[in-house]
Amino acid sequence: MKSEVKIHHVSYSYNKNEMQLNDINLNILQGECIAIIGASGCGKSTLTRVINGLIPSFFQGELSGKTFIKEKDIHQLPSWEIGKMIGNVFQDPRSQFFSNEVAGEIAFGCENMGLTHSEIIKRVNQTVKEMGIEDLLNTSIYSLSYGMRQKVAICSAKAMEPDVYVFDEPSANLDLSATYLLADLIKRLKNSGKTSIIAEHRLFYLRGIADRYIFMENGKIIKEYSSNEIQEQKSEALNKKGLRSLRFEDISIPNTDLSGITSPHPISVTGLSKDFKNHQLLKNITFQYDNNEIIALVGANGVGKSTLGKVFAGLMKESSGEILVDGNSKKYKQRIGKIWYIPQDLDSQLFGEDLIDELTTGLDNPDKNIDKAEDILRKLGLIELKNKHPATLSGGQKQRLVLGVAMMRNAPMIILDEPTSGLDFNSMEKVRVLIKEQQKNGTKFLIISHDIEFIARTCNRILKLDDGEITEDYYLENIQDLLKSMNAKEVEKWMC
Amino acid sequence: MTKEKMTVKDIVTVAVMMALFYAIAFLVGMGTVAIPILYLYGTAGIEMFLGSIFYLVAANRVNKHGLLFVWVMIYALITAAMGYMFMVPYFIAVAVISEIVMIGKNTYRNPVRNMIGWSTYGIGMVLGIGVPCWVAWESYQKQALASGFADATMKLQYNMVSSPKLMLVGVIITVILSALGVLISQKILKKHFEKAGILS
Amino acid sequence: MSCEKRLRELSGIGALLLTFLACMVSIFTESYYMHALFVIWLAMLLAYLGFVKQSVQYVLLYSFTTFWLIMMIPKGVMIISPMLLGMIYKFIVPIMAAYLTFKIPSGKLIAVFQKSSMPQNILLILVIMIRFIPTISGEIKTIKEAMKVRGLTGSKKKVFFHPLRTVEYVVVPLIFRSIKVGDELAAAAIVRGVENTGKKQSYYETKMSKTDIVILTISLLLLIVCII
Repeated sequence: MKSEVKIHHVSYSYNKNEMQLNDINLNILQGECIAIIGASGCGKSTLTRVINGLIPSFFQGELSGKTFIKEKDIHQLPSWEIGKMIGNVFQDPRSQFFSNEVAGEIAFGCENMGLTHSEIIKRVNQTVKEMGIEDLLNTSIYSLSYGMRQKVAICSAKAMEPDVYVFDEPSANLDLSATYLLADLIKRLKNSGKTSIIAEHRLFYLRGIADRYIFMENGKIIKEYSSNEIQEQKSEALNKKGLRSLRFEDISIPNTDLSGITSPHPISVTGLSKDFKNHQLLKNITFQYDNNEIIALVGANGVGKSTLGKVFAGLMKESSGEILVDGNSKKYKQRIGKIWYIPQDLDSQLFGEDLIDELTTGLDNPDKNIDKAEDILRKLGLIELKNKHPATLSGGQKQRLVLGVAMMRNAPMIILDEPTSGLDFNSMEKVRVLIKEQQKNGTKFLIISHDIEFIARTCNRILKLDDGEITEDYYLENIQDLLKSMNAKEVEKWMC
Repeated sequence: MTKEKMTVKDIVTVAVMMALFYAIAFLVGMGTVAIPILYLYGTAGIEMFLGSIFYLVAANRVNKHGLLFVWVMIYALITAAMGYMFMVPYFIAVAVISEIVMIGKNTYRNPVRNMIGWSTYGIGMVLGIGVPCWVAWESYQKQALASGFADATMKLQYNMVSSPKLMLVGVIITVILSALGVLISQKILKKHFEKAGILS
Repeated sequence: MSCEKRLRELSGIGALLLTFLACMVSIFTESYYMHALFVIWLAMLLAYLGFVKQSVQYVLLYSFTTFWLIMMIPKGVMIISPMLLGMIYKFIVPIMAAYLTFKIPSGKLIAVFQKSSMPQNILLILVIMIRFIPTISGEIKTIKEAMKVRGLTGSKKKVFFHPLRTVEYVVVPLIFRSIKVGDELAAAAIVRGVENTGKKQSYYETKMSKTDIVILTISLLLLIVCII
């Protein structure tokens, strides 16, 4: 087999103290599918940027060593020449698009290559035909689910006909079925002889697809696993490396004795409905907290999970029904601040100039609450960072900080919308531990999530929403039940 | 002037900040239109006041000459697309003057220079109200003085542009608001964006 | 022919020129009747291209505005600012045309810019603004919700006495988020060859279609009649 990508003694740092990449050597053969794995900050994303040439032209810093694609030194090439050889799919389905419609998006790369009008049309049509999205050509990208957007991203890379594809945490924002769809697409690229390089910490969907797993830590390649070797790894061993579990069946559900936990604020919902433009988004939702159990709200994309969260928290008005807090019916405006809603996108949640200010801003007496804020930062494990600007924190740290804001206000109930998207195992664990501690202190949680591993380790009770109705409601005792509720098996089988 | 070219990252920064500026400007325009006096004398000033933070973020992050020129030129293109073709030469002049005001090294990171540059653009916006009238003075006068139903604006606008004193009032209001905007935005810039390290 | 297909026949240059002509009508027409005629023409056009509901709404708004201006204002009924009504009257024509321009794929407009010999940097700024503006309202909505939860918009008193603080709460996350999206957009653009300075062609047709020519000819004739 010919060598497709060759990385030769590559080191990189953007400030001199820390090496983001430390003497990386890697030879990737034509047609191979390589997973670069490791915890957040291990350098896996950085390595993808060296391969696609964004380092050092876009991300400045000191780069040494050489990178070859088909024996060409890529750092001697202009960016658009690299672009013809390497297709890219990034993490965030919201920010990698240039056009507002699918057709224009897929054409964008071809236009930049200087192809003629007729050649561009030919390429776009051929790509959508092969990928089976002909009927989406004139659709607005904003109307697509994140899973479909990643498919469009792959199409727009494919239209440029590169031989190598680089994926940087492509599954970070996807739900389960979309992740398997992604896996299927990567498989198809592999079957057509293309080379793929995928940076990830979620491994389950790469089973049977990736040929080699390159494990990185602190900017170095520590170990290489073959596809068989990684199968033999216990999930626990992978978790210790910051990686998510390879098999859901391995995940053990911790035994939580809920009887010891007191429930100071009973909360219940009866007959909650929400109409929107002749359409019933939520239908007659009824449930109540038995105790302080942590409830996971699961269901496919678009069944109304976030709507339920927002109505619950008083950000939207219910069309009918009643929510009782402490035995009293609360109107939607009265629920604001009592039932605390934290959305998926945390950048829009941060207002302070440092972490203390973040926790105290908006309070009546910010100065009197500094001690309390410091206490909470200690619990969050963020006290050393207290003078930093919140925007400089990592994803996991931000998630803990916004939980801290709710703790600061003593909110009796917190709703989290996809709190673990993009988090590696360690960051997920820290969020989990924090939630569990707050549970003991009497806070109620409703967690909207499609992260099986996180739900299994954190939640006590499962509510499944389907087309605006609750179709399942049970206490979680067995991982198989959860997998069934999440349609994990069916989706996987259907894909294979 | 330094010859350093803008990178794609610079261009995207400018584009995104301009988009936010126009979004705010649009909202301000919608808000003031109900009160004629405020609309004519205050709109430019309020837009410059609220929009200054977006300009400052772009200026400090990019720190390259040509930024203010491009900023005004995009405005010129939008006016041209709206049929006010004759405004284009005027705005090109505003763009050139605004950029000349910024001559020097690292001026785009200098609070005082930014204040001057931003106010210059603000003045250009207020005087711009007069341009359509001055270009076609005769027909404008006729239209404004003939009593029709849709020209409540026109009469006020006519009064404003035909009196140098009133025009000066408009300019002063705008300069004060632009400079005040930069002054306050500079604080926010230090407090948040500089601290978070996104300006380099 | 379905409405969608008809709309697809409208090219970027066609929509832009129509908007331009509509602006000219708005600036130069002195006769109320000719102005009304052009509004009716645009309303028909909107309906023909599939926007029946919007067409009816615009016509109703236009009729109401004109009625109020002619009948109520002279009687001194000033509940609605006469200037606001004047603005609606004046801008309804360009807005109706611009509505169509927004409804065609933005790629069509970009194709027109691409073909004009506009400098690359200016072109790229326009491309990104067109891409970014539709997302702004969504971002602001999320920020507002977060402010509500935290009680940062809570009382009108707070907003009134600390207006700058409230502005800061909206603007700071908005800028952080925009810079982040912008940087990711820039990276995605570079790896897809945006830095190539060579001549580029577009996916969308830049020539005028038959539909364009018919629409523009009628509009131009109406404009000429309006000015005379």
